[in-house]
Amino acid sequence: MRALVYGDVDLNLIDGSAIWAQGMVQALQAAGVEVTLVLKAPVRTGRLVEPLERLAGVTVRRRPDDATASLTVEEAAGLLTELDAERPYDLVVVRGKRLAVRLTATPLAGRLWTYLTDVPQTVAELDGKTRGELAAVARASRFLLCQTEELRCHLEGVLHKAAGKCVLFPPVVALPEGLEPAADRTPGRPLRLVYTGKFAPRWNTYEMTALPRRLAAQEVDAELHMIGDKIHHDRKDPGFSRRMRVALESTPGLTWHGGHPRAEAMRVSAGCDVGLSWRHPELDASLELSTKVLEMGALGLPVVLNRTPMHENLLGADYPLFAATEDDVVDVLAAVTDPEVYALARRRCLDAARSFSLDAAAGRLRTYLRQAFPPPLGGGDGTGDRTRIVVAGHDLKFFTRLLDHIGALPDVEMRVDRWPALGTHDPEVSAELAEWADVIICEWCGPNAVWYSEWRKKHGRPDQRLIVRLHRFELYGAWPGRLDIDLIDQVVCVSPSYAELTRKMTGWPAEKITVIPNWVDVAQFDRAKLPGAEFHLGMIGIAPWRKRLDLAVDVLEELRRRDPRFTLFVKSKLPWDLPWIWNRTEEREAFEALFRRIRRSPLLARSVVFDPAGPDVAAWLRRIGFVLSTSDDESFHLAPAEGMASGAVPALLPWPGADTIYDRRWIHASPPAMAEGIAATVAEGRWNEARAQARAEVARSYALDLVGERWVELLRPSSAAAAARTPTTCPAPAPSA
Amino acid sequence: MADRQVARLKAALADREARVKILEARVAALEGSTSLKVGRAVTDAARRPGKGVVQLPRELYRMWRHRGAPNVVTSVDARERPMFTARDEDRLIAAAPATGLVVAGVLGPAAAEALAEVAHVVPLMPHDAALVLDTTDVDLVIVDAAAGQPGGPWAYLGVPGVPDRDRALLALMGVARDRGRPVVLAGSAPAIAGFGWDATVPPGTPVAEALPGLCARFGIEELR
Repeated sequence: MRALVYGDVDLNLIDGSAIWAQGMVQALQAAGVEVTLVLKAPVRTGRLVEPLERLAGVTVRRRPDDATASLTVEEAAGLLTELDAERPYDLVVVRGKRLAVRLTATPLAGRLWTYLTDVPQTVAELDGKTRGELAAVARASRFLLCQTEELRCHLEGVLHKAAGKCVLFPPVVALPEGLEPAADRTPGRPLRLVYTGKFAPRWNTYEMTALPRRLAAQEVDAELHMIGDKIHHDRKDPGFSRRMRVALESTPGLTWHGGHPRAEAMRVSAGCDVGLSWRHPELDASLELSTKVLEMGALGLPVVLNRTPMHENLLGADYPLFAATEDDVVDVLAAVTDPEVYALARRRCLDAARSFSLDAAAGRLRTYLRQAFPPPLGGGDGTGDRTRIVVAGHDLKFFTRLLDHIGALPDVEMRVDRWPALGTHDPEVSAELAEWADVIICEWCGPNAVWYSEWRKKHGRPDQRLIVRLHRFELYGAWPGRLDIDLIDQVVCVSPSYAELTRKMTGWPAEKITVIPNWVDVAQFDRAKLPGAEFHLGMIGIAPWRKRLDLAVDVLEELRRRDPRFTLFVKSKLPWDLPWIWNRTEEREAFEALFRRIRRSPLLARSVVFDPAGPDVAAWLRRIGFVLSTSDDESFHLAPAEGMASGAVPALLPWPGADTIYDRRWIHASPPAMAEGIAATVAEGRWNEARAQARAEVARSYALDLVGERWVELLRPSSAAAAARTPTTCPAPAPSA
Repeated sequence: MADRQVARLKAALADREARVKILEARVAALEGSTSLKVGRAVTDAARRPGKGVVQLPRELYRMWRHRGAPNVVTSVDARERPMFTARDEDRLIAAAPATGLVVAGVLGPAAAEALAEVAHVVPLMPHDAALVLDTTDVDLVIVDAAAGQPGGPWAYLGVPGVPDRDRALLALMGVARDRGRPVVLAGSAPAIAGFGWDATVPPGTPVAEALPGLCARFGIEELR
């Protein structure tokens, strides 16, 4: 595996972006990838570059000796493309929006692993041009590497093309050689505070200089160490730089160390007791995480910082050194002289920093590499015959990630016959694709399956295979009856109950029917919940009527009688967005009555929120504590499984077959029983335990890689013969009940 | 042959997508057109003969000032577009029997309760805010940062990484701005602080207490 790495960063300046480049190269190398790092600027100091050059499997491509200037975006794009043309790379890691946008129009598109930080941080700042650029980058990228969960959710929320491609790549924190956190430590006397970085108004650096004096007034002996030499010139506050410099040079109890290389700055910091990262509230909305907080944590220094959702996730809501105002800072610093408070804060910071280690980063990259480069279908090195697969269907939303998974197999060539509607297609195109294919997968057992089976009867080759994936509604249509089952190699159902029902209703032989469950991209959904999510019920998809939003509303009504914080969030198209539903009188009347009930009820009117349908489900689920499944009938119902993967608790009514897919502990006899169960789970403090169980269950049974592997087995060239030898259904892994 | 077919289909799809984009742009341009906004301002003024006429020049100035501002409603999702499709003049005969000050709000429970003591409150939901504002006769729009607390419909408003609530807020602010209604942020929420508020109420100040000052500032006389 070979990677080309380029950051729009200067490795002579040892700042966060340069440290990113270093961390990325080290992590890729640790993950077993051969790395070529292309430098943007001529080397003036080898402090970061030379250690990388000494790593096995890492090549650093410096600027020519006579080069004096850094590469422009255009030059960088040209060089990267040229290097790839000489010997293609498997992945191209780039940092910087401008370069990424430029690379979307090169042959590197599709292999980009793009790291973005320079994106608008709020919805209001995102204009149409930037949105278009980011969409192009998302299309051209295999992954969008995001520094924080907040950035990932922001990108997915504002840019639906990013959904499913965003993965986390947090900062890599590696201590310089010879520097270790002390095994045990108590707050010193005097209390030594340290700040490292630039001096700027919004970083509260001037206000920090008052801390020794203010702490002395509270009888806390303290000294402040400040490291850095960049004093910001602020247009809004022209006097800042002078004021800051005077304070640095003349404040009693303050030692200004000036600028130092990163390693030296960390050594000075390691000799102190508490780090300062308290900032102006305007920066609380940042989608980025301060690397310096993590570095101080890795040194075993507790850090004073603002309370934000991101910091609460990192350190816990009860972390004792959160501060908003200068008074708060003085108070928490006075409190941290208590050894117990100090030990708690220090432990939290140390623990948090551990998940940003080089090992953790390499582990993440290994996971992404496995996802992007799965082993070949036919085994070996993937250089054997390629299997040509056609996937045909009108609605591939339940097959998209499997398409990615199967399409990524090195010895598979995949094409899609996308039908514009259930029964509409271009027969000429379908015929050409059928002729080309070794394996045809019909997603849905509808007119597509009928057409392909008829084609096979007239023109099919003996070595071809036809697989049909049957969900639910098709069983009640005429299409299964029109299929000649002898022309179908396998019918795949998503649940045992529907496999059984299919067998009964069609009379097809049992050996033709296989169960491969729906999949959940567990890693994508595994995100920290937002605080208070336990009061939020979620429902994904409410139309047609058989999804029974009315029963979910019954549950909500009962819960709100006990606690008005319970709120139902619905992520769905509305029934009038779907003409095939809204044109049916009985559907329309039922929904109209329900919406009237919600509108008129004091308990419900302000507690049911309708969010638009979209691919940003994983981000949306961060706010949901319980995912409801109240349908009359489902073949699988992916929503509870996605909710479980997100760390929510599933709550189901007993639709037929629910207990063959989900553990019985999540299935309630009636809406009142469901409300009772939810209320008790929250009131008794069992929500965290329940959701941990749910997450473990879904990972065991329906994780994308497990289900993908089942599909690979089915598609493997030898599996036709194998299937013929073992005429049996292949049940989903049983839930733990 | 198959490759040619794929290429032909891709070209057809690209052509169709381009046409859809052009149509979307035309719809957005129509919705954001100054002519439509001027028409609305004039009919609003007619509907409120006293203060409305006084406010008209200011509203027209506001439109002129915002004429180059980007349209914040960029999504094509049906629920993010203004949904009012009747003629604007139809508002003139719509009954709205509230007396006194009418405040539309994105409100936490405490602010909603306190405001209800002194004004008629029109609560806004994320999915209906733009629609309700477009069809209701309100004097002032208040966004209470506490509405972003969990356990309510606007949970996580202003929390970094939850852009859908911010987008709904921007949409409602767009409608309020088009109708010349001031939008006020009460309290502190960093992610939405820079959204271009007409006024802010500092954290810690009860919003009901700030109301007289806000009404005086915006020339609203209906405070009872």
